[in-house]
Amino acid sequence: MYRRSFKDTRSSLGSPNPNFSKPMVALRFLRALSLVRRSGLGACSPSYRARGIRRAAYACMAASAGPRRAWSRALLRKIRRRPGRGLRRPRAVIWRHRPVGGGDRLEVALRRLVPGGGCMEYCRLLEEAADYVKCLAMQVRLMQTIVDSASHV
Amino acid sequence: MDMHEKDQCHSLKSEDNLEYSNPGNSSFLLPNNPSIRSVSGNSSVTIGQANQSGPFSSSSIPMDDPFSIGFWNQSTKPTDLDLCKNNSPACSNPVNGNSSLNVEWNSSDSFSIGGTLLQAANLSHFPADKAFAGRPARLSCFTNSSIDGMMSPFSLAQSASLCANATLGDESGAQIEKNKEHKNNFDGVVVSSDHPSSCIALGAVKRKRNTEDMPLDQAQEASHVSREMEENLEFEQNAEPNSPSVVTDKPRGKQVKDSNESLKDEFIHIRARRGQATNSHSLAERVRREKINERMKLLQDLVPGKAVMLDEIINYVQSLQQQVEFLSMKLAAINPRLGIDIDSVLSKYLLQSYNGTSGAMAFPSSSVHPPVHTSQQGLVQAGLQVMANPPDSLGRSMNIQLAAVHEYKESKMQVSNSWEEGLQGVMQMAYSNNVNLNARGL
Repeated sequence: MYRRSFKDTRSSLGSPNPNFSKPMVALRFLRALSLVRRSGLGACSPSYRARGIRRAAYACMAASAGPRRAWSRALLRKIRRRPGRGLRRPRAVIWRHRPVGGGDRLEVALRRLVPGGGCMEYCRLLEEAADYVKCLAMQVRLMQTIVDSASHV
Repeated sequence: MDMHEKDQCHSLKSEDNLEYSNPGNSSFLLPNNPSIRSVSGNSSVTIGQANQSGPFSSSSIPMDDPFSIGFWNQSTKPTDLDLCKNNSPACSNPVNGNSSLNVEWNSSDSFSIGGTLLQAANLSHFPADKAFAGRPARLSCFTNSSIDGMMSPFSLAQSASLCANATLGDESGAQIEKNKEHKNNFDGVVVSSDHPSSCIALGAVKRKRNTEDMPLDQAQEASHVSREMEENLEFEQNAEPNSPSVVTDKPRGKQVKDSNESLKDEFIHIRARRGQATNSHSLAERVRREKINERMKLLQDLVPGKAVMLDEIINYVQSLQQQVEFLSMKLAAINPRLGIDIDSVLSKYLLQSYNGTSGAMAFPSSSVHPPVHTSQQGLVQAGLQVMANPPDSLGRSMNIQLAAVHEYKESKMQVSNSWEEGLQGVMQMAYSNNVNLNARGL
């Protein structure tokens, strides 16, 4: 399902490098923010809203990164599965490639940080980590500017 | 193609006055050039296949054929001739050449080819090898030695193939399978030779070039690839800080990687590290290690500041994630105060960014879409920052921009497909979850 949607997305959006389309991320995120605001108006505690906003931020990031990336797929999968799902049954897809030897503390830590990093080879892990860092930094910058502009206005 | 290459090889071989003793090389090299070529191709293929990764698995360049053709072409090039001349004294002294070659191999750290094997090959084919000494052909010396005049281009090709990993390997492998003769024997050797350190450095460049070469004809590819390889090699050589001069007296087995780079000079540097097994496994490991190092470098470039170890990268990622949490909390706190007119805000900062960058007042809606797509990362930020108090002059453009932005958004939403819908679903889930949480909290 994801693969099909990914191909369609890429072809339809026409963005050559989804990773760097900052306005797209901004649009998505702002749209998500408005959705959250509209829905969560009744939410009394800002912590709940914060959680929703955080999830929306990650979703925007993953969506704009494109389906080509393993981390974006895993991130969306994690986000979608969280609400309401009970135990996660280990899928064949996820556990297909279990990396051997988690002795390296750094490697294990990196695997935990990068979404979907549990079943990648080390090489792939580094590549995905680089992309993830890039997108994450972009998202943080975007949120920072939104906060700044919102607080100033 | 194979036949063609074979003919070329044979013809070139006859032309080459340097004569290499097949029997000397036959120990580990195929007596036939094509076979050798195929072998080297095989080795490159095996290595490439072993190290196939996502981006590289798809493209495959018939490295084998281009390389072989390239060799022949290169052998006839004047540079090679010059090298031959330069190497003539060296040729007379095979021992030196061997040592230089050995040195090169060791320094490259990429070859597990037995030094003895190389020596044997070098001795027999030394003059030919010297011809290509100029090139940082860490390629298996035996492949070079065995093939007259083919060495450097072949080595270059191999190095390029190694750099390209799977891309090259796939195609060459396919071709090689046709010509397979002594595939297994030379896998280790050839592959190791292909794995020069400098090659790794240019791996990205070569990959790109190789992928570009794919649509070309094989002959064209060969020449193109060989040319590219030459260029790459030259670039490598120039870029190499340490290896400007030929290594002649370096001791075998101890070379620094950079020393191999400078092979350009007289001797053919191909050589595996002494005592290293020319297993396909170790070669594949080496290639994989190079790949990992390359990715690590990319990662380190992304992280601001010096990130010598993975530890700092991990800390940076953790700090980014914490920042996201913090900012989301802040946004949640600010949100009630924030006007619901997000669209206008968005359009405002887009407008601001456009005005700030170009200063044009009227942006046709059609032009908004491409700029939005191609806008730089800072565009949004600039827009957001400038958004606070738009001057009156911008009011008019604002309407235009607003309309444009709306159009853009609508078009974007129209083209949304399951991915986008999925995103929407996710967002809905996000805030529905939020609502659920709130309900639960309440």
